[in-house]
Amino acid sequence: MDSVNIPVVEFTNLTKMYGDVIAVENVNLEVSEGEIFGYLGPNGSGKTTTIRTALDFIRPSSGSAAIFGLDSRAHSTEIKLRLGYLPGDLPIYEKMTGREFLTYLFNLRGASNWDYVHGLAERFDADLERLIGKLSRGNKQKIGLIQAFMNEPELIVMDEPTSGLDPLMQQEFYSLVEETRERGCTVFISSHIVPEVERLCDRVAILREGTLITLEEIRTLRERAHHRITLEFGEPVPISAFSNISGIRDVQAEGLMLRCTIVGSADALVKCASQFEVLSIQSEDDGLEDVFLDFYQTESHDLAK
Amino acid sequence: MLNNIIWKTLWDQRRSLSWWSIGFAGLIISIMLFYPFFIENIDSYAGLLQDASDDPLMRIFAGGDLLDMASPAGFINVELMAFMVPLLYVAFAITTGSAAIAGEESRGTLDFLLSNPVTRRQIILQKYGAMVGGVVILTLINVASFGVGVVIVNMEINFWRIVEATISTGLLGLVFGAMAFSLGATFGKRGVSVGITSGVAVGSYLLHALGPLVDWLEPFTKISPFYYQDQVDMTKAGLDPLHTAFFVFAGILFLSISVVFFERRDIGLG
Repeated sequence: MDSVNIPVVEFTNLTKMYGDVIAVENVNLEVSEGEIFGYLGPNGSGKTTTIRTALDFIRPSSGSAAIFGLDSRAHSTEIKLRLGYLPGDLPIYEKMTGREFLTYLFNLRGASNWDYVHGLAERFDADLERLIGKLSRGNKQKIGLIQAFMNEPELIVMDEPTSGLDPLMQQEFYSLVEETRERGCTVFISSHIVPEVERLCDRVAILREGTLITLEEIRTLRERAHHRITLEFGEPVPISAFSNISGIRDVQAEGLMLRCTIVGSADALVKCASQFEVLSIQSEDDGLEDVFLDFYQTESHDLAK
Repeated sequence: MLNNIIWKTLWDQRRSLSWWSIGFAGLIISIMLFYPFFIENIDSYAGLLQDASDDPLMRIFAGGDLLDMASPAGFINVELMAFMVPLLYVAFAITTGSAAIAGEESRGTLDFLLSNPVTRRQIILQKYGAMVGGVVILTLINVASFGVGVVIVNMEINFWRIVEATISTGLLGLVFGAMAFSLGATFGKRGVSVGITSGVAVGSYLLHALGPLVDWLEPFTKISPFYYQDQVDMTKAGLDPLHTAFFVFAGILFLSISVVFFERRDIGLG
């Protein structure tokens, strides 16, 4: 088999119910080798449930998850030999020191390169000698991150990886992820921090109330970004001339100024404005934050393609 | 020490195991040291013991043959093997057994364990192994403590019988530990595991203690694990192989239940 064509992560109609409550419903997605994949959604949208199902901690009600082309349930052990995992809310052995904890997991995974572990600890400036229970949230998170990377796995799955980290360590984490990808590792990040996902990920899936509502490349999503545009005209202009432009919102006129938000291409707006005398145009980009808020808030059926 | 789940679990328990060891050794040695004083004053206790042995309430706290307390074996039975030592073993085993799976699960650390290349079956076997290991360590401590006691008070007794009785009592504790373990592995809730197993332990102790005194309870005494605990006065044959087999069978049964249910269920998020 040609390993290049097998997706590293593949969910097929993955569904998890708790009694009558649907936690995750019919999720289908594929992540290919070397991709940094973002799994986004508000709290309680089913991100963690999907991950825990994929890793065989909980069992799907229907559908399946495959990792490295292997069924996540039947080949759980083989998969985990090649996997790094960082759970959300970082449960951890409070009465072990960082060094003891890492040694334990190092041995369980049959890892062989302790120098690499050491390198990671130095890089994150992690305190390995103190009891983990006595560490601050951020310092605990560092230990969690080190263990996820330490066996140089082929796939790293992380649930809210930067929670508690200071900005400096976040940067360190971003560059570690990028380096790791360069050596061919696939990274699956569950997060609700949009700038982080925007910065790191090639592609994102957005989950809402257990359903996958979109699966897009970050590049494509950027096209939907909101631009706040301010136009200055030579004379006052009627708002009505602009209100029918597709993608336009929040149009306000104030003297010679016209302010509006435009989603997607500004082409129609510019063409419409050209019938008047335009003195200046300013455009501000909000990043993807608003795009995601749109996805979170709109009913999934109404999502305009 | 930290190269597999068994060693790591025992390593986690190093402090608590030390305290349990001190507790057991302190109890056993101090009671043994009391023996010479008890024998000196045996006449003044005779009436008391006679009354107590007819009193059902007293039977709850003093198992063994109260009228045989003057003999070394009888003394050790009543003072240690019939109540205090099994009680401590059962308490230790329930604590350890319930912590094994349900404890890790309620702290959420089971997710960490399962993200490693170990099967659920291996987790069960190794965690169970660690619980057995803890009981074995305490049994060695107890046998050594009895040894110290016997030497100090110069007791005339077949020491091998004490060893056998200690093993039997350890196995009794292990059965309740195994039950707590399997409830924890099956339901993932430490409270459920401790609660149900403690209830069953108290119930089966009362059944064992009071059964012989209550006609309608008598036929049921054999379902109490305490019935199968061989005490020191096994003067004729020593450890009963069938009784020992009962404990081993129960231990394997609970282990199998743990594997079967733990492999099938969803792991909780703590």
